[in-house]
Amino acid sequence: MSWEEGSSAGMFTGAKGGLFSVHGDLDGEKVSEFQEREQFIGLCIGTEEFLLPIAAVHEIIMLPPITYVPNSSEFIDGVINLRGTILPALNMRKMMGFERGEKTANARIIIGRFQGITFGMIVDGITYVVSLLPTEIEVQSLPGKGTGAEFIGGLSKQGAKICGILDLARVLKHVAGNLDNEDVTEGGVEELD
Amino acid sequence: MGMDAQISSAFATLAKKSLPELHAKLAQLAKKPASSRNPDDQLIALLAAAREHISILEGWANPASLQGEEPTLGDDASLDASANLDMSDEEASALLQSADSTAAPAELDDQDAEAAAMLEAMNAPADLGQVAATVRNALTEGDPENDPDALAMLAAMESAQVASAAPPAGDISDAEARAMLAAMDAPLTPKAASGEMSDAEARAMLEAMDAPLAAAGSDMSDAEARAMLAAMDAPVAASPKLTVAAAPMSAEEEALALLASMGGAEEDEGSSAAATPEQPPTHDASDHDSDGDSEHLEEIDEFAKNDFASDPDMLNDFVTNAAEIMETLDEKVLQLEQNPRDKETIESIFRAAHTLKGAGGMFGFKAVERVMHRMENLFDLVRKGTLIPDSNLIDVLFQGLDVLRTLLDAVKNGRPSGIPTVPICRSLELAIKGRYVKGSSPAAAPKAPPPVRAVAAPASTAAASHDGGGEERTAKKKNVEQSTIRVDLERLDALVNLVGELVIDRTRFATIEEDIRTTSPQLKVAGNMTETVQLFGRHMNEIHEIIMKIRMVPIGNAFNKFTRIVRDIGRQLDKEMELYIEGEATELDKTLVEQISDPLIHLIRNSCDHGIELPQVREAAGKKRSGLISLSARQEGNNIIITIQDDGKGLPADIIRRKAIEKGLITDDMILSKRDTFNLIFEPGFSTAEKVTNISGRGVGMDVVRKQISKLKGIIDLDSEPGKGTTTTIRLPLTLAIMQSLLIESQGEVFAVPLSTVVESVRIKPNEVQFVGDAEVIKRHDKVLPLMHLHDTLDLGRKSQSSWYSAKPQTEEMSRVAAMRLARRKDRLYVVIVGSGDRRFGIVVDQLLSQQEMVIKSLGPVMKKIPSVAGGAVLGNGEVVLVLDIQELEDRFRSRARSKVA
Repeated sequence: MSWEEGSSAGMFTGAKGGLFSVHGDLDGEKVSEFQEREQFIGLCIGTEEFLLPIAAVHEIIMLPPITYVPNSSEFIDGVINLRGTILPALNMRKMMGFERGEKTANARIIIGRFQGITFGMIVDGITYVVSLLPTEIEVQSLPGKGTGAEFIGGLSKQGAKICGILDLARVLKHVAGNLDNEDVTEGGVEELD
Repeated sequence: MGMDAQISSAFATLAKKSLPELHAKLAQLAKKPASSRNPDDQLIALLAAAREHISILEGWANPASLQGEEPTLGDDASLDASANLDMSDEEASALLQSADSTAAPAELDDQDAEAAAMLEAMNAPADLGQVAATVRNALTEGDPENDPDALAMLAAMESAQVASAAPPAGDISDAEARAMLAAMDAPLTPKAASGEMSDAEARAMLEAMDAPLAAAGSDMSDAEARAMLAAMDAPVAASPKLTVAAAPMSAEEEALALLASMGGAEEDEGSSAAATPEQPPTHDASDHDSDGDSEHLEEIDEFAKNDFASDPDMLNDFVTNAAEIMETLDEKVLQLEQNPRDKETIESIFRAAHTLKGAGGMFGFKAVERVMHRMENLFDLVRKGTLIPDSNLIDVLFQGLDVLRTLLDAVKNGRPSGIPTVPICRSLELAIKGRYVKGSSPAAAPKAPPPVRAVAAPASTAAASHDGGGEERTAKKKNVEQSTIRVDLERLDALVNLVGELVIDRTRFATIEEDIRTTSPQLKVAGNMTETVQLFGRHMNEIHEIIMKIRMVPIGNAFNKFTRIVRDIGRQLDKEMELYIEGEATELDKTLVEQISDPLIHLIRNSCDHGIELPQVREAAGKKRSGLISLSARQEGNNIIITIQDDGKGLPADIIRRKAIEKGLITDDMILSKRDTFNLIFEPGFSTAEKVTNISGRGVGMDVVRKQISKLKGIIDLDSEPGKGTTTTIRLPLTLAIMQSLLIESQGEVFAVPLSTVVESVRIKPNEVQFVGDAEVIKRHDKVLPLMHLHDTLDLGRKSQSSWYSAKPQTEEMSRVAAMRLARRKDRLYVVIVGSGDRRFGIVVDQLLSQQEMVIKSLGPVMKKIPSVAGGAVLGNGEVVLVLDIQELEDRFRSRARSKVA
């Protein structure tokens, strides 16, 4: 799969695509210090806050009607219509290992684009945009499986709060991988019938 | 004796190849001093000498090989010998001809003078040594510019001399021969069209040469030698004689290789040349109006770089035009076979051929131009009435068309096909004289022609059945052609897609309008809105209709080639069959027409191959000798129904059943209807079983056929009557771009069923459902249909657990409507009956909602493989609805039922 080749980790650690932050006044004297920062979007999933590289975010929309697709991956909640294009909507709560909760008024769908694939992610809310210095990001995979930790590609340690940064490559791979496995489990289901 | 054979074969080789080459080069040399209009006397003498050389050798070789006589020197003697002997006559004249025609392309200004000189030289006896000396003299005195050429020639000349001396010693080695050839080959300049020779060809010749020579080393009878000579010199004429030869060994193969590399037009060239030996240089032109010289037909580059060819747009135009012309040619040539004297047909063929030739030439596709040119010559003769087309001629024409098609494909792909054009050119030229080469074209199978000619009647219904109507239609076609414009399909697709979106928008407007109208009918704006939306809707409908029509092409475009296929298979298998085509004017979406073609070819081939029996068998069974395959298309509502029907032997139900049980597709105790049994051959896996058995061969790739049809949102069904034939029915939607769908609802979920697959929707009482074991069935129109519950098959019960967000907000009104509906339907079941033929089944749904036009879209790369779902569509209210894949749904239903049984 195409997204296996490059991990999206580069998105928030690498030099490319980041913004320059200017310290001091633009007229001259102290403009020496350029630091590359990368912007992230803060989002709520369940009870936690996660970050997502802004470069991967195409747009954020209100929750449209979602059409259930039978026999699809359990993490695909359904499909939505984005101005005539049909996109899958991933259930991020389920992916990150949270319980089913009430659909809040803050719920949004983040339309992400990664390696040419456009898809939606249902989140419980959007908080703010943060800029992080490379030094404020720690690339680290967390132990644990099935609790959503596997989709975390790094951690932000800005200030006192530690936030997980979502790795879209892993998220997509998981969904697609599940899709591939689906055919296998289908057989199993049939036997159970 | 053995020696004689060796000598003669060596000489034949020399006379045949080396010396004409030499001659060509000399001619070229003579041409070089461009400043002087008149060729150097010395060089003319040289030419003459070389010619003489050839005639001596040939005179020498022939009697030696045929009678073991003393070598006869001199022209008269040689001609005498030729007169007495069939073989040598041909050979001699062929050689003469070859020498002459080599001279012809040199285009000396003073042709008459040269010819005269040659004739003179021919009469003057000379020997090899003399010739060599003359050459040497000429060269030493000649222009220093020509040195490399001249030297090479000298070398060649000398080695020729050596070779000619060698045979008496019984010792001409391969190496020598090769060296000779190499020497002659090397100095070739590209300018000398006549002397041009590709490496590959040279190699082939060498190989061809080596083998007989090597063979000659062993003891050999005269007959063998003759056979070999014959094989070498005139393969066309020789092929019957070859079979007489005592030792065919590799000679036959060699002959074929030779034929491929140098071609065998000698026979006819020879016979005509023998009649008019006095005017050799002009002979070719006067004989037939081919400007190409058949003796010197050599493989040429397929493409020549040229400005036109490098312009992609121009090239694209050429390719499209060429494809169209080829189609026309195919069709018209078939018509010509039916109606050999039809002026209009041949005129249009001629025009088409001429256009293609011209275009090919303009773009520098030399091979296309060359083949087409020869076909055009043929067509011209037919047009003039000199030649009456018979099935042999048509065969040759089709071979030519096949080669052309390969060449044009190569043009399209941008790389040369490497297909040899010489054999076909030769066949075509022979055909002009009413002679036919069997097996010389790559398209023709090398086996003997079938004794029984198949009469494949092209049911281009126009020509066959009612002439008046046909003419009328052609006339109409012409008018259409005049006022058409070529549009890039991509642009058209974009337009169609956009119109599809507009159709959706219209539905949305209608919804809004309805909302306004019902909620606030007092508003003045509501009335305006209603009016506008209605108008918009009407215009939209018109646009939609027109845009759909733009994409429509008559299905006849796909049908036309079938006539040809049936004809070819018929000739191959010695079967007599007719193809009857009906409804070719039925219009269908262009992409569908393109994609339906392959499955149809498969089915037609099956009918020809396995359905229709041999004429004897048919007669024994009390049927007409010639089998009938009918292919028809008709429109039924939004569907196109294509049927392929043959009156052959039908399908063996029992064997299919046995095979299916062996393959584990069905169980022993399963009782299937006849049609269900037949349709088993569409199962994947069944085909592999079929390949090893020979019950009827049907089923090979039939699963692929079904897959392709279902990809086109169509349904295929098959029925057969043993001894009576087989009928295949294909049901296709008119277009894929926008399709009519039936919206249904099951457990709150809405799905779309392509209307092309829907037979009917019914409301039944629950007690009409009967249980047979586990299965639910209903009786409908005297047929038993299995029932499937959509929510069951699709596992809709898992929704609540797998989808957290998709529950639609239930407004109060909606739930009220739902409750009302529920109350009204009470003890009724809604069943959508889908499928075709006997392979129908019912889908039990909760509600039938509406019928809508929709544009099917893919669900994207993340979810491309969702079972039973063909794609999604956006409804007027902006919601996505899933479109069901009925075929997959049925497979799923049946496999679940099967696993339940197991």
